[in-house]
Amino acid sequence: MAKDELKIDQDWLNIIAGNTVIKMDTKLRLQARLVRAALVNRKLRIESQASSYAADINERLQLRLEEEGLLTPQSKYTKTFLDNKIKALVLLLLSGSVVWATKIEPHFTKPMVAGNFANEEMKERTTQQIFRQNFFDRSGAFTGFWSRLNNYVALVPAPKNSLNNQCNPNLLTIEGCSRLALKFDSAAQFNLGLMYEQGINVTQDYNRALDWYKKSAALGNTQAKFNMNYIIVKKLVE
Amino acid sequence: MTIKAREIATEVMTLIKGNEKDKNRGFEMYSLHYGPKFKVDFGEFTLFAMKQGKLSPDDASEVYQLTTIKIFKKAETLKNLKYARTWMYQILRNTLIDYKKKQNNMNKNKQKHMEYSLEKEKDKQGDEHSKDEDIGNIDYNRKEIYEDRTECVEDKMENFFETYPDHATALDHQMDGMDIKSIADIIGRSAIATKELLSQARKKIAPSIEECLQIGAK
Repeated sequence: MAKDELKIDQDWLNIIAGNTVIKMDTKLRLQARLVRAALVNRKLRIESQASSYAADINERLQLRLEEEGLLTPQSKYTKTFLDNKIKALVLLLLSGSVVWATKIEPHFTKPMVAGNFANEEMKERTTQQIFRQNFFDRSGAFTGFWSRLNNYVALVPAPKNSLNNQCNPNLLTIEGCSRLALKFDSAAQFNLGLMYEQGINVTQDYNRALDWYKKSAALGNTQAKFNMNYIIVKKLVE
Repeated sequence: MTIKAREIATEVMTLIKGNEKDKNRGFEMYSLHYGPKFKVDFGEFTLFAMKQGKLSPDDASEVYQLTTIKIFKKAETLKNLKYARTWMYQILRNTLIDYKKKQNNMNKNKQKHMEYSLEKEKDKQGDEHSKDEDIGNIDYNRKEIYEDRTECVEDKMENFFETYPDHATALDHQMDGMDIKSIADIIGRSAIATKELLSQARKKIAPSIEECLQIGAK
């Protein structure tokens, strides 16, 4: 008898839990199903009532606990910092990269176009070419404003073989550049500096490089200023 | 499920009992597991208050807040962290009972005040007979008439929740598919007592459901 009761209870509770029970009294099964349906409906009704209720209780509760002295108040900054961990991480990375960027000494290694040749060629170039050389490198990859500073002579065609045209990225000679440098051409002075710095067609000499860079910078050449700083900071000269 | 729920409760209470930093972390974890999440979920404790106490969302959230404050205040009195979940539910149930009592008292006072003011008005008008007539019109022996079985069963279940809240809560959690130990934690009884309670629940509901089954048969 007691075993039967136990089985009935178990079966009935199984139906309430939504399980399938085989070989059970039909009446009891119906009863259990009706009870389950009523309970499910009740649950859904209450949960729908609750979900429409959009109050942020936890924040109010935290304040209440802080007032009662049961929690230590967190400062607003720490709280937002903890709340927006991703934002904080991005901020940290950005500030880190800014610090890192300021520590880098810019250094230009591409020769500039010097003399009349540059001006003539520049005039001939179309707007599209200027746009391309400003924002793309030789391979066509987008480089942003960097190419403007470093690669802006990318599309210059090969120069003619006169002494005036021997101070450009395609052809660098000490004679050509010196001739123009003496005519106060800042680009030619920069090129001379670069030649001495890197040992292009001449023996490497940082002191001479620094002198030429100084001269070029005095004429307002920004790249020369950066390279001058680079030589000083890196302590390449005594 | 039981083990996980118990472990979480133990961890939460360990943090709440800890130092100030741990308390803050404990609160975060507590509100994550038991409190309402904004526009996502109404939380375990608040739903319990709504289901068992038949409270509105506002009242349920008030009960949740009172419970939380009590839990934080009395955290030191919890000695065996193994029973943290049962202990927390015990506090929730007690708070719910207190809150309901307060609410009932308030309602009674309101009713008294209303009756008093009504009487005063009627005295002013000198209409003494109308009150007796009104009372005479109420039929106390009115029987409920249901249109279908579902409506009948739902109504009977509501009555059952009012008359036997523990039985009904156990049954409600059984419907959710919880095991006996979890239900026992929530209602604060042993597993055997919970089984017995569920068995009693069946026997107590049976006559009411039987009445409802007659509706379709007619």
